[in-house]
Amino acid sequence: MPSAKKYLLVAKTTLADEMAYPSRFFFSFYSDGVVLIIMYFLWRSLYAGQAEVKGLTLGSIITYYAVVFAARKLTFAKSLYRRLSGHVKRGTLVTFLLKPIDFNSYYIVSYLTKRIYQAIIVIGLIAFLTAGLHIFDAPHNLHLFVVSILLASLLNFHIYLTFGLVAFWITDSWGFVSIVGRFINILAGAVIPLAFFPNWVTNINTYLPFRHMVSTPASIYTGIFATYTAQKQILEQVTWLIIIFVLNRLLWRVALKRFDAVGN
Amino acid sequence: MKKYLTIYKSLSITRLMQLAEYRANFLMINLASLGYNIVTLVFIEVLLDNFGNIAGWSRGEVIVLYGVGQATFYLYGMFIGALNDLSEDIRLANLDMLLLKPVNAIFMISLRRFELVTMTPVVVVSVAITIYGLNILGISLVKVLPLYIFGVIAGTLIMAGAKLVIGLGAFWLGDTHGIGRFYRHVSEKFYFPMDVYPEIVGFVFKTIIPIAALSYFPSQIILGRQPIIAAVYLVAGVLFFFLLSYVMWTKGVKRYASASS
Repeated sequence: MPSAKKYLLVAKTTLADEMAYPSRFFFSFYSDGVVLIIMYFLWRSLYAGQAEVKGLTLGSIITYYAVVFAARKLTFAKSLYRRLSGHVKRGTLVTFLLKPIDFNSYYIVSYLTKRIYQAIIVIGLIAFLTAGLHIFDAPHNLHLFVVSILLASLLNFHIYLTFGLVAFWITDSWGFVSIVGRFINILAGAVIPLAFFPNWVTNINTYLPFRHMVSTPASIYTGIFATYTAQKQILEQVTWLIIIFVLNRLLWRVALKRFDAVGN
Repeated sequence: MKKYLTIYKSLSITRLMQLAEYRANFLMINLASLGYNIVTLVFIEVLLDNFGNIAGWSRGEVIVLYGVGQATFYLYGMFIGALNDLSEDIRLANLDMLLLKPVNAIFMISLRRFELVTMTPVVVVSVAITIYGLNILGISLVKVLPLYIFGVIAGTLIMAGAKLVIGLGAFWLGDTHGIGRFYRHVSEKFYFPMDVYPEIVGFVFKTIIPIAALSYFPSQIILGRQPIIAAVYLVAGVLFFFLLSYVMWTKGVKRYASASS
């Protein structure tokens, strides 16, 4: 079967699976939506009597969280390490290795299909809340945001897939990866905008890729980054994506040499 | 009573034997919870560094609020976490195993999973966070210990009552697992004072979705902020949810049917 047709089939199967269980997506959407509402009231309370803090207005903070919410739907890749470590632990990875399809490529097609499906719903909602109800600020540099969010999505995928490789060395690694994942969330700016952190944290963060997973696209959208800075950040995203991709491929080769499976 | 204590002891020993087989799982659960606590404390500290207070609650008070909420949440998981599976058991007709035993079914449903060993480290961490917050305020935990125990236990019982009501709703609705997960998800993330919210939203979180019972009202008692109103709310909440769940159980079990399980 030609390559493109193989992966198209993967995309179709993934989409069918997503649409067969819409409640899974809507449950996470609904419960994350409530958290977004909690954040809205919290920040409204914090900003009472203040127009601006650390250069950010209440409107830009609320829009930032809305974009983070949408970005997480579009870039969520944490379950990847769980799925990969599950395959390694149970030995079911061997079924993938025997198939005429590259494991990483299979997962990236499946992942992007799910993200695009969810993106259509999330973008529609954000557009309505922005243009229709004027709840959020209008986007800045929308074209740069689109490029940045796509890169962030791919970066999330490769970072969490790399984490999943820990399973080849530590069988029960989910707790370790979970704690690391929480710290990544902070450094990605998903918990609180990076502008609020002390300088020493932001200085360390400039040497790490995590802020490009969420904070960079959110900051482009809300206008925190001016056009020139946004373009520079996008170049950094591309650089980090290449580095993580190469690292992932190298580790994958080393990891496969350790893999054992009996039966299946 | 002796019969129930003996049964609970047997269930606990069985669970301990399972944990001994999967020690790594125990470590992972606690690592994940520790990570969550650290991240949340970082978030709270960064907010307070920049804004000084949250809706008039000072740094120490917010940390106490968070610590109390976590203690309630994990205490529930320690003893009554099995209620999370109730709606699935009803939907998949797995209740037979529990209904046919010569003990109270609600006892079996609620207490069949004993997580004392798994959850003790996270409960200890939650108590440590509360002590840290009280230290900032110059209050010793020993001084407020009876209020702390009352608040946390009442909050835990209200959470258990609410989860029981949600689970029993499956007798009529078929599947309430999503509602239960939603409640647990929001409860875990609810660590800000109720004063942050407009009145109508606050009313919802105090009554319909009883999240305020987990941290806000117990903290009000411990910190001496409207303690009488908070205590009355907690006692009324416990009575209300357990009465409602008793009524739902007696009516709901008559609707239950299964083709063996």
